[in-house]
Amino acid sequence: MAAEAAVAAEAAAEAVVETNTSDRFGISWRPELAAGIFENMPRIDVLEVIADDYFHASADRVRSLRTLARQIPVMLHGVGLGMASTAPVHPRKLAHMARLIDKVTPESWSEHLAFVRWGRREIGHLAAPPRNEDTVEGTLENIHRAVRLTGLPPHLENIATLLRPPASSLDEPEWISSILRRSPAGLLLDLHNLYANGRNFGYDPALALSRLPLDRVTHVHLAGGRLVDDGLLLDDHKHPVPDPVYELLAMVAARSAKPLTVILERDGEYPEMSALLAELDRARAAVAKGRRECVPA
Amino acid sequence: MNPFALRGPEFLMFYFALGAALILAMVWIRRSRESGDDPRIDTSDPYRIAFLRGGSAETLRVAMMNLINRGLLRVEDDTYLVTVSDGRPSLIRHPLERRILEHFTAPAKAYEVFTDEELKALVGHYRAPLENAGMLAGPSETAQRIRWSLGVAIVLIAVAAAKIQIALAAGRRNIGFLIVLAVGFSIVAMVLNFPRRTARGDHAVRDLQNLFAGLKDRSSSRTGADAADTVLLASIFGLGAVPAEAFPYRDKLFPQAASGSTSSCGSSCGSSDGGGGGGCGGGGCGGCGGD
Repeated sequence: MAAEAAVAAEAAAEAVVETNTSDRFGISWRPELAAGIFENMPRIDVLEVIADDYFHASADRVRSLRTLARQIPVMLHGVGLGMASTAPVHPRKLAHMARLIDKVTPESWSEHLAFVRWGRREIGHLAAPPRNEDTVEGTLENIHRAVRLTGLPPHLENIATLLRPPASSLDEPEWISSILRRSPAGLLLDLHNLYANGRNFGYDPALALSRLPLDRVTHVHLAGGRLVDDGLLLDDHKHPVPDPVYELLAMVAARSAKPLTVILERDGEYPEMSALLAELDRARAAVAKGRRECVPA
Repeated sequence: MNPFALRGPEFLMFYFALGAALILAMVWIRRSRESGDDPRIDTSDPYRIAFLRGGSAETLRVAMMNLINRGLLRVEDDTYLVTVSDGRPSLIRHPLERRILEHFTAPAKAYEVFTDEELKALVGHYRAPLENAGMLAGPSETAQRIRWSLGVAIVLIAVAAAKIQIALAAGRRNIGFLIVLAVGFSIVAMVLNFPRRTARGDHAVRDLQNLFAGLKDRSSSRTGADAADTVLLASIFGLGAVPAEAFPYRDKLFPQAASGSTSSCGSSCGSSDGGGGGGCGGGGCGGCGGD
């Protein structure tokens, strides 16, 4: 135990020395973590806030979020727009997002490459759309709508799925690349989602990573999950980040020249803040390792 | 329309509306001028937040609660506090906590800390940075407030005096209500315009309360909260927000503060600097403290 702690401390110290000073490491803002976050501000560079939680918030609460954004860089993260769809993005929710961006002036905003409604019915979770030309076109239109209204191109996050999307003609890297190639959006690369999809559908996530447009990646998500009954890996954000995800992070750092903003996501079963900070330190160490092993483009 | 030509009751109504409008405008202008940019909030020391929210006495209450929860102060007979034998104040880094432990080397009642001059000076150190940050009213804000309050009072008294002169010249003596209104509005103008916090300070407290709402919600549904969470909770929301399970001595030691709402020591508190623990009677340590 002591040896592990010493190794972790050494890795963290190494990271402090060698991480690109522009790389940043943060955490997803959850009210349950507020005290720990404020107590450890010097070790947290950036926060990611769920935007949808503030779509119907009072002016007072929105102002509080703006105040938070004055203490530390804040990124807004949407979960309910449904960008990756042949159906138009929900106009009212997009308007809420635009207003929130206007009021809070976050550093950036992001959404998922997912659909969240069928017709008028909200399906209650992030679903992977068929990966084909139709959804590429629909997503591009939604991105342009969002940019027109918010004035900022979003970062789009690859999602985890337990089902292989039916009616797909493209694999995930091809589909994502097709969207990014023709849009101003960046890729918010969720490495646990990539890892989970690779594990669940029997492909090598490292290989998938190498086929993604990493020059469009400036934001990275880390999370953990659990195995469900049929052996599939569920991305539930309630468990520590597994080792292979840190290895993927080092690969991203090795292949990307751009500064990275790495966000640790946690949505429940919150551990002590020290455990989350240790995960951030491991992320720092992984990025530092990747930077040392930088692969020329 | 010449308001001075109005008959007595109509003029009183006009005067009432004028006084209310002037005072509302004065408060609105003061809050606008003092709101400034979005506040930057330093949360590294929870006692600074407690001071901003509730003043000196509240800061001391929160510090005592924290020391009790950390096992460095012991409660005896639900009234007395005493530093535990191995508490060793010299090892405590925070000067405020160290001084409180020194104060209770011999058993003493909790409220006695409010008269400890050294503690008053230590807590007073929080004031200047908060004034510089524009969250507490400093000398410049106070001077500005005095000017505005005097201006409003002078206008109201001048209008009343003019009408009284007209009334007396016309041989009428029913001027009592007008005098009462003039004096009353002048007092209100003075009282309402001097909260200890600025609008910016109010924003900071409200922002913290919004951002930490989850901490408050969570505290009510669990016991054994760690000391760091509990002291932050008490600093931001007041002792009333700390569940009795997390601080069983709350109601006995600080009955008035415990029963108060989270904003009971907010901007409505006076600014009597000499009133550390101002509302503290013999048995309780409740009321809003000055700073």
